[in-house]
Amino acid sequence: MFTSDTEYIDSSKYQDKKHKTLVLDSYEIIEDEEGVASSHRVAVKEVRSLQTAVTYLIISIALMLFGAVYEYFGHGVFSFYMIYAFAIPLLGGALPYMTDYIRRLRTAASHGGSGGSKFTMLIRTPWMYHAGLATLTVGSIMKGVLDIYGTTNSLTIAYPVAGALLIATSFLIKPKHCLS
Amino acid sequence: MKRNNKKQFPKQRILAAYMALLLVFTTYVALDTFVITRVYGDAANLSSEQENDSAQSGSDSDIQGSENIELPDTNSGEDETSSQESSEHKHGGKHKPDGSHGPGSHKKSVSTGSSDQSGSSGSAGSSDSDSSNSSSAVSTASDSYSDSNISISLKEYRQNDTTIYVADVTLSSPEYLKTALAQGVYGKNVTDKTSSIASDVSAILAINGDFYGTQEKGYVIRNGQLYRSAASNGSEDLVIYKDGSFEIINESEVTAEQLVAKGAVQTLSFGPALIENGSIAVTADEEVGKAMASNPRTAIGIIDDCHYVFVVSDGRSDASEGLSLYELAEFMESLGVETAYNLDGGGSSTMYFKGSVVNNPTSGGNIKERSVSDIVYIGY
Repeated sequence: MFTSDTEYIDSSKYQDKKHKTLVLDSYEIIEDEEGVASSHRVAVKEVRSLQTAVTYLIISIALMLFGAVYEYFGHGVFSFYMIYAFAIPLLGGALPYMTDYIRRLRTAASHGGSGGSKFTMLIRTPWMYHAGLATLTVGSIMKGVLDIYGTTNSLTIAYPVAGALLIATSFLIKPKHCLS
Repeated sequence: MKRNNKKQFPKQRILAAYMALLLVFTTYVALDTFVITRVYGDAANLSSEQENDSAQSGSDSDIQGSENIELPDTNSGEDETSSQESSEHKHGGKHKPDGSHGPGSHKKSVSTGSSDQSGSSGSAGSSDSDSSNSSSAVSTASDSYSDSNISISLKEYRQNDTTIYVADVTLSSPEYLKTALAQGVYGKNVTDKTSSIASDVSAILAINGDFYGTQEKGYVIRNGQLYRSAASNGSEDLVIYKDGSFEIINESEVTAEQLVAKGAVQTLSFGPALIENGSIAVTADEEVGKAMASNPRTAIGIIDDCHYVFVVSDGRSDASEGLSLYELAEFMESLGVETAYNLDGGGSSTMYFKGSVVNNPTSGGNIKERSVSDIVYIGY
């Protein structure tokens, strides 16, 4: 039943639903040291997706409030980077993981499967994806602060570059020993 | 499966380590931007070096060494409230016919203490009679300075619920219009209060400059010395030439070296241009740094040869709302300015005259001076 790492990263495995389930089960087994039962594993995935989505949602709300407060005390000076910083964790984190959670709930209810959203399943190295989102978000806040102060710093280019690289890498590379 | 479990990396640790790295980097960026001081050059040394070079080559230096000019006592200037009235008629007579945007309708003493209010008895209503009368009607209590080379009259206006301070400057030679760097050096995060820098160079009148230190690009030419030649794409600069004339240039169209070759002695890189060729050059919704609001402002303008206005408005307070860029441009136009340029505003806006700060700089919600990179001043 369990596939090897090589088989896991083979995208052709995603072509049919049966293999997809197999791959996901394999992934879960590798990640969970306890080796929990199949039905339990599906529930764990749902909970994780929900937890991730809620965490990103809380971060988005916090950033929204932070941007509003910063602008309130900014004497009318504003920066789009500050105002819309919340959109990064919202669109990149809360939305896909909430979609993933809802899809898992639906597929589990309909035929006991464990299929999540297509987007999150494409993320092969989730920690890199999260790190990328964090980098982009912090970079946006930092750029907003500098904009509002009326200054620049060439070092801020590192945020979008690192963030984009991390996110792109998270879709492309599956570390041999399952870093995800 | 067991092999995988045994060799599984601690992903949470890696993520935590990356977050720590991100925090450290962000802290460094913040310190690099706001705290860490980097000195790239000593203005005084560079100036003296250039003077020596000029002396050796026999060319005329743009840098006016203080040893070449007799430094008068800045307190020796006469307080000439009566004479400044006629000065206003002469230099600042361009007012809107309806007087609605004529500078000020409210009279208030300036804080320098030596003002004479004898000429300020006109009511706001009297400003409607004609343009010449509106000049006297809008004039307020003022302070002034005068010697054989420099004549300055300081007036305070009230417009758009904002207190505006205008220093009308007439010079015998443009060499008395100068700039100075904080602590006498060019660098990043090298700052000092406008009043301190002004005091250090014995300025008679000073306003904050363009705060070049907050930017990594944009031409910096000061007193003939080129400090920074990295162009900021699309940036509008004010160039002050050796003959005292003003020109608005775009950094994407001319290099700093070309400006120096053309005789530029100062560039101020903030903007935008408020008045060009006597007409307002900004739109009603134009702003600096996305500040779509009324704020304290600083501007400089030229009326005619060796005749300048330094303008600072208060803002961000109940007593003075502040001006939008367009309102500032309208005000400058009403002064009869041919070319006017917006300098660093907000908490930086400060005017110093004869040893004290004239306006009410607001910094962090309090009335206090902010430290800046540079000033524009009148002095010897």
